[in-house]
Amino acid sequence: MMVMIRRIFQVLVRSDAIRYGTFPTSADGAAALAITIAAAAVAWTFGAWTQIVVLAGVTVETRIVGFTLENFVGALAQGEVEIGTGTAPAGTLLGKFTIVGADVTLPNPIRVPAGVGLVARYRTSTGAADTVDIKLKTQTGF
Amino acid sequence: MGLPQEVRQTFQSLVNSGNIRRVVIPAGAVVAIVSDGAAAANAYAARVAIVAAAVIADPAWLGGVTILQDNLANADYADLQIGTGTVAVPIVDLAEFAFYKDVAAGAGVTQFKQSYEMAFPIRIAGAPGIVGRIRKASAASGTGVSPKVIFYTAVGT
Repeated sequence: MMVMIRRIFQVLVRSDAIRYGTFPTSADGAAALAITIAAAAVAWTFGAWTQIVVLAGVTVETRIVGFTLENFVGALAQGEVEIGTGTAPAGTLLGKFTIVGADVTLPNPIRVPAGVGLVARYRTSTGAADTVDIKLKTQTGF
Repeated sequence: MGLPQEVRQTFQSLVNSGNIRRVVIPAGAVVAIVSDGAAAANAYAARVAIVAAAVIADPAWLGGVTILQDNLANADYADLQIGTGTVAVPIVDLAEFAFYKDVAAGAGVTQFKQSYEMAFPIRIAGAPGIVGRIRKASAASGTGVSPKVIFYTAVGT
């Protein structure tokens, strides 16, 4: 209980160590360029899991607090994004998100431990291999 | 500081929060944070001072940013990073905020994100200067944003 109270205090008040960042970083290649994820060319079928952060690229305990979507290509009447852990083409689901905007903030951040990779995949209603670029929003220092 | 005081400050920050205040800097005109043309795509340009030392309270909690002007090209995307210090001395980078001017018309998503409220404000001690810089998907120079930076004071008192 004491540890729990102390962590709440550190988050709310003595929060000097908290940092907000984005994935991918320059350590993941392409100078922090957003990662393109592609839908399968079949309606409502996910494309392959795509690596956002390389295995062990999460160097400290990190909270995934949201993501931004950029450069939509395709008609995208409706679409969904999934974020997971692992090494592409494998992935273990963390969350599925219906796209209602290009900037998504999670009301309940998802904690991931150090030493995992992060992946994402995409599907749309169009039946075409639509693409979108994704960046994850993160918090560390808890 | 003992556990009883930490519990009391946690209570004050969450419940009995009558002392907490919210301010934005700079108090007057916004400061343009633009690419300098020397930075490649997705590489950070030089930092720009937003306020000098001793302007924010000591301590203060960084709570977010509001973007008042965005002169990126349409469909250009960028990250704004806020830090402490001055442009000439070592900086502590605190937070990145992804933003954009617009998105492709076909996406059916055209919202322009203007304000970012951080769920967990970052405590800053010593009233250092505040700086910002951007990186963006294009290498075009002279474009960027003009933000106000949100701070809270008296958290936990």
